Amino acid sequence: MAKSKKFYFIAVLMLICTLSTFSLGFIPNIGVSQVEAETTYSQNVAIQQRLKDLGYYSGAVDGTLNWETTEAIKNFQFDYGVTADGIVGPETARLLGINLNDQASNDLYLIAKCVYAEARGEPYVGQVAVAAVILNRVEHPDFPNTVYGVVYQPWAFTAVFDGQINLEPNETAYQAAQDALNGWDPTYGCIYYYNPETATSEWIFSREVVVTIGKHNFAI
Amino acid sequence: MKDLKKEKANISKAGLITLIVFVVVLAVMMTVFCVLYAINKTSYEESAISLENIYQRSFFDLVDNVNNAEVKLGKLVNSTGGEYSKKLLTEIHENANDAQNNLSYLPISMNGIPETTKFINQLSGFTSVLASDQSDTLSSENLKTLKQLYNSVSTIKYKLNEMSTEIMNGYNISKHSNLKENASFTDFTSKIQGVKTVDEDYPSMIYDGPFSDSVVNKEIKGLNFKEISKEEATEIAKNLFKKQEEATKDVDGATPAKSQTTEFVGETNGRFKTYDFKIVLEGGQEYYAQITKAGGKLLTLSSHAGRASKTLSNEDAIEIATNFAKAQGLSNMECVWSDVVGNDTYLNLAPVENDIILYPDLIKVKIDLATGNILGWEATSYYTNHIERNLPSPSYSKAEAKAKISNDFKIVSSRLALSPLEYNREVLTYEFECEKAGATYYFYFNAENGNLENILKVIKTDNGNLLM
Repeated sequence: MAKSKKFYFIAVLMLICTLSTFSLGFIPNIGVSQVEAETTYSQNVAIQQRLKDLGYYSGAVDGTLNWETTEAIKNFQFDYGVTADGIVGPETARLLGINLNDQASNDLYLIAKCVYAEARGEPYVGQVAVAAVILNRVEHPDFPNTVYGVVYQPWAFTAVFDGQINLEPNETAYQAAQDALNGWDPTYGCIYYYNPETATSEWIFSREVVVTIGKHNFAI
Repeated sequence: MKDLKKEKANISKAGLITLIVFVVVLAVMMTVFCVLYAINKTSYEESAISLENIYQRSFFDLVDNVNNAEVKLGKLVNSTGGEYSKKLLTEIHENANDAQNNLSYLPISMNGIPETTKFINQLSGFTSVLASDQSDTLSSENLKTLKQLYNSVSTIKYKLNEMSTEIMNGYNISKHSNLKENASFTDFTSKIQGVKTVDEDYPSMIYDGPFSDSVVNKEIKGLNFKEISKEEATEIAKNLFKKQEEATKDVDGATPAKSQTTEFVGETNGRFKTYDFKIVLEGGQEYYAQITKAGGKLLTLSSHAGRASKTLSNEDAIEIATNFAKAQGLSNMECVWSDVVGNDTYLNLAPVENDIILYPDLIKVKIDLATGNILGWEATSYYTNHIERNLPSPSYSKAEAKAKISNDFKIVSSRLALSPLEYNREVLTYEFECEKAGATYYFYFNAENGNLENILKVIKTDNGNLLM
């Protein structure tokens, strides 16, 4: 008796498990939202620098909002009569004299995101090259004329359609983007890149390869 | 016997209960499964529809803008010049700009999109240059180009309108634009192929303006040197960091690293032709160096450093950068702009000849303020533009130029500068650095006729200073 009961019990349990695993795949991704930082790396650097200049902060200007930075923000907010929540919103930013939104930092942020999503495993110069390709496209007649237009051109970048573009970039990606914005372009005007091992488009192989950096071929 | 019967009954009872539980659980699971599937399917379908809507809206806006541009081009080639032509040119430029914007929302994988984008961009650039031209009538050459453009736009318009009919009959753009789905670029019906083949008939628009071919394929003037061998280039790469050591030896606090290994990694064969090296310093920091085949010049150096605390001032960095430039054979470089980002400083160096600063020949140097290591070197502008120039002596006086600046500005400094203007032009100017209400401005007056050529404003951003 115990045996057959156990058998049914296990069978039902297995069925439940199978079905729930199966149905899990169909649950809409409502709960999985991206965790995004309130301020970007470069803004954090500016905040820390400003707080340091004003004597509120004595730690390293490293772009990470650590406990010390948050405490410094709170003290600053208390002194200036803002709700001391440790978060740099528009009001606190205004008092700090920091611009949270300008086109230059928007472009930097987007390029850094694209670099991180597309080339985070590549050598540093390969990341600079990817950032440079984005900027070369902005200048090139065949492509849209803004950084946002180029990055979000439908199906232009793999990482944009699979959602990796929404990952928060690391410091290396920021530095690579900054270098490219300052004029570094190790590809000298390339507008395409692809990984010859994984590229599936036959068309892309017809482009003239200028240089190979890391896993990517850069082409015009 | 009795016990056995009882047990049998028990088993069947237990079996019945299990069966009921089983059926109930199964029913619940199936219901949950169906509901979730339905929700998911609806949300998937909704986003697919809204994506298709965006594509179609962009497409029909594009058709509209191309139609409008075509009508106006038709009027333009038959007009007699003057104000009305200028108005038409401006409007065509606007239509082309809008069409460009619409194109940027359409999948790049659609056939003909890059070609059409290029054509529309150049149409926009060409018409804006003509619209801002001082002369009242269109030259016969420009008129001829405009007539060819009119024909091309008419063809594109015809093809686009054919595609419109197909989309209205149910053609779905998003279903045919997935790069993953199809390895090669998808055929957007035979009609968009038609747009692609128009490419061959696009008239070449010879003008110096936005998106012109001359801006993209800029000629390299400053590298008329003998080609060197890979071995010679390797020697140059090996000695790079000895030069860095020399450049930093008089700077207190600088702790430059020595190079450990230098490895040839490949060649670049594009606008610039270079031998490429991977250099690793003691301590493990990696560099990528590109040395020109012509003359063995250091063209690009790329690296980055982690965040340590700063020990050097910006002035120290300027000293290191100009010393390093000297070691590359560039002895008259002066720092004209610097921008500190985190621990790095980006310095712009320009040559000074006969007290004239040559802005087109910029070299950018990135220095780590923690160690004094040179993290980056970018000399493409220098080698693109640097030639022996016969600079004219100014025929307009500095005092006259100065008098043109409003009294609200406090003049901080002034000098002669060769300034790059848009689209590969260079002009000798007087540069005045001025201040007004705490903001810094740079004025550039043409040294031959006194025209104001450019105003730059220094914008303080969270990333340092920008010139706009």
